Amino acid sequence: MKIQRGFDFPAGARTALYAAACFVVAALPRPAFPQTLRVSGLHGVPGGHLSASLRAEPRTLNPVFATEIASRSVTSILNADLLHINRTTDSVEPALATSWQVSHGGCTYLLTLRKGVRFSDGSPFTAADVLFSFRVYLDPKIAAPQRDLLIIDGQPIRVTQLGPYLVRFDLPHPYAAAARLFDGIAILPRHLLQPLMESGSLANAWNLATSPAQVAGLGPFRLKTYRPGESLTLERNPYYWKQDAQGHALPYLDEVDFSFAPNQDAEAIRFAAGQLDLIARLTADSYASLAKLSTAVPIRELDGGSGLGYDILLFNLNADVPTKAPQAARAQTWFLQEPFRQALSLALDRSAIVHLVYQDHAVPLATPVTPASRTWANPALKPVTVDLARARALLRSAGFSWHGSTLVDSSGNSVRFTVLANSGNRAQSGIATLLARNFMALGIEAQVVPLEFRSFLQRITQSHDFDVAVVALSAGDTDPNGNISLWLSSGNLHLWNQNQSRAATPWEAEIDTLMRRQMAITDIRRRRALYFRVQSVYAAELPFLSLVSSDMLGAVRAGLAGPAPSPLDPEMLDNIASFYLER
Amino acid sequence: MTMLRVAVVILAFLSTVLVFADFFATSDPAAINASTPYLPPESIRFTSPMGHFHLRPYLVRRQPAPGQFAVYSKDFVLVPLRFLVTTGDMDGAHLRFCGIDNGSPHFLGTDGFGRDVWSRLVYGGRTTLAIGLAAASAATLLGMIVGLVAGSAGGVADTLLMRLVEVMISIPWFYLLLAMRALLPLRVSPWWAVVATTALMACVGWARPARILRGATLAARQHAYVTMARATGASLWHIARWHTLPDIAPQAITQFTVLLPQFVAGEIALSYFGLGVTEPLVSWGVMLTAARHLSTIVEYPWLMSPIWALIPFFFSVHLLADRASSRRWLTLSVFVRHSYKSFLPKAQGENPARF
Repeated sequence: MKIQRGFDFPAGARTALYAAACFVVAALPRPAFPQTLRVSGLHGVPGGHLSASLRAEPRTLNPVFATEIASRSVTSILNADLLHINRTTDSVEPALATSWQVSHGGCTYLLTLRKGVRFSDGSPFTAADVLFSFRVYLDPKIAAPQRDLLIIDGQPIRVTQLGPYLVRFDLPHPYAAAARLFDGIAILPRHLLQPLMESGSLANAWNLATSPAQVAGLGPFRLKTYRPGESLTLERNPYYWKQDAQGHALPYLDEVDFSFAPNQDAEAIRFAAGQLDLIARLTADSYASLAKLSTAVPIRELDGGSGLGYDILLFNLNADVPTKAPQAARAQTWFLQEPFRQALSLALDRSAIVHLVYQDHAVPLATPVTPASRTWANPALKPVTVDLARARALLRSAGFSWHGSTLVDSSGNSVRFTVLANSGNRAQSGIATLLARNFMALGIEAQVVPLEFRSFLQRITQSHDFDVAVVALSAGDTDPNGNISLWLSSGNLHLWNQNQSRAATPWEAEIDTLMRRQMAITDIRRRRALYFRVQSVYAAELPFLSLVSSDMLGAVRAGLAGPAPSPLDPEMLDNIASFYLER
Repeated sequence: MTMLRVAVVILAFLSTVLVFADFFATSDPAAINASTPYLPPESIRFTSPMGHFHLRPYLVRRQPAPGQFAVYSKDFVLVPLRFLVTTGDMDGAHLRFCGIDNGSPHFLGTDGFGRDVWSRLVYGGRTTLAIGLAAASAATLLGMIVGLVAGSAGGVADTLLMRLVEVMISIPWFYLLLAMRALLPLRVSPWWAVVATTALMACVGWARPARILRGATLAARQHAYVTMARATGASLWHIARWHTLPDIAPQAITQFTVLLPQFVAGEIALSYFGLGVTEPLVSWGVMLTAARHLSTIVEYPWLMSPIWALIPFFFSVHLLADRASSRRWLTLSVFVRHSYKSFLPKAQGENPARF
């Protein structure tokens, strides 16, 4: 970690830097609204109360330690970031920073902060808070989950304060999409958390027992009350820094209430009974039954289109299978043959998965790049449709033949394997059932083995004792870097052959090179060309089969304006400041 | 008695349908049809498309509404039902009791993959009841052997066996079953999973019948004819085989009838957790996994049809269990015992039938 503060510089250097900074600031385009951010085109009605729910009780309100969805949903509302990705246009926009400048070939980011902004407890926000926040996130002892994002090629980003409202970020290498890194990195109040950090008790700070007066953020809402096991209430932050088109201070809503529902069914019942105004992250069948359940209150269903999540059929190509899980070795000899993988891809009916499992709320995929990634998906690659004749020809060319209707390999073994699925996920179990039936058409006996999630994960990531598995994955971002841990042979989501010290195959080495190259350039066209090539290499080798990407589904009570599902967290609550009740 | 008759009729009907599942089903239970997911049950009518009464039943068939999921048109066509038809699918050709010309009828609708619920109910029932019957038989037999040995031998053997029984009873059997099933290897064929499930249920289920039958054995040993048999030098084995066993038979039958529904429910619970029967095999447990979701119960209640088959089944079996412990069965057992005695080997010297 390396963070430099302003007073580390000798006095002369400091003055010179200030002068330079002032010059830079003067050169920047003047922000149209010096203190508040005006959201154009927004004409809402102030007032009102929103009831939402969380599927679990949040474990913490501390954005540094929030890892699970419930905590992150709440912390994202209580806090704000320097730059923010607009969920509709997918472009980076000013938030707490009014503008940013990139220099030194993409290595230096100079961010000008919004002036006159106050935390929800009324204390002013300055560059010191930014510096403090990044010091916390980069501290290896604290090991915040955000730290991985801020370390580029093993070197941390350096943060320097150049003035009360000017901060410089130095990257070790040019990093494409560096501006996107700032999204979701909450700026912490130094005046509240610094004493706790110095005493080493930051990990216990802002837990659910903390008094609301001790919790402050820059988000649209602030903590009001917490009733253990029951609900969490947030109230309007009177110091919030956004306005609507008419100059009304945001957020519109006075209060947001999160109750805790144990599961999606309980959530759906509450929503149908009118106890909740909003429900997100719905499965296709819950989504379909909502309209029938909600007879009492009018609702508006929201289908946000394809998200970043996708289902794959993972082949066990792990190099340690012969020693670690010899019982999986025979099936692996088939999966290691590229024509066999291609044949399976040609046999499986992706449209049936879309129709039967996701009730048409999904799209078939050719690569793991979902339509939510917009222009990053290689348009030349189309999802394959069922072609049993070609599949059989491929198998025959690879030395397979048929005994009656049973497929046998070149040494006479009949081809049969197990399809692992997470028994807790209905969609994945359903996909496994469909796939098993698809493979039967090729004379393959595939048996579905539903396993409880923990043992499912253990087999896939540790013991490697499985043949194929239906796995649900999700890219972290619409940018190619959101899928980096899947592509890189050293990545922890490189599930088909894990723990490679160096790329095991020439094509994996090529993907590694392409991904590393695209990561270091800022020219979007060149990045796109490189990423298209990654996808072409994938499609030629098919180390796993990309199946479908499901839609982001949710619903709101009629009369609530604003919510829209988005591929990035927090799915439907991102623009909660602009939610309003129609009068 | 009438109720008992009803129970017997229900069980006879169920067994006939399930034993001849290939005949009574209308299609391959695993055949997926992407165009008709969640098709509601199709009714039959005795009127021809012209509106005239007809002896040949017609199936009311609705077409999927284009572009919508699981929505079917209000209009329908009447398709004549044909009897004794031969159908062919991935599982081979079968003679079915009825069918239609193109496709197959769905008397109980279809599930989310367009698979025929009636056929799945029939094939699934066969699997579920076969597991239940086999496991209950095995557990009763095991329990009987242990009970008989412990009760007859007494002493150290009795103490050891009964402590083992107490250990088995004190462990919640369902969790034991879950744990034991999870230890089994992943790569077993679906049929082996069935056999394993059966064996496991028998392994955890024998303890209670063993304890009860040991008590019955002890009680049976108090009879005068047993004392007499011992006095005349009959061996332990002889007494167990010719005096105790016929005496505890009614209790064994009762234990069997108590275990049977328990094990059927056990299979359903195991499959519900994905540990019993797995796809592509079908059982009532596999079918009822659909009940995990509120939306299914609300929108597609016909998927719960195994429950409607289970209710009369449990009812009948419990009624039989009830009767098994009643006097009529006891009279039967006395009759059995006496008829056994009349066949006793003469090698024992005196004819015990005289006692």
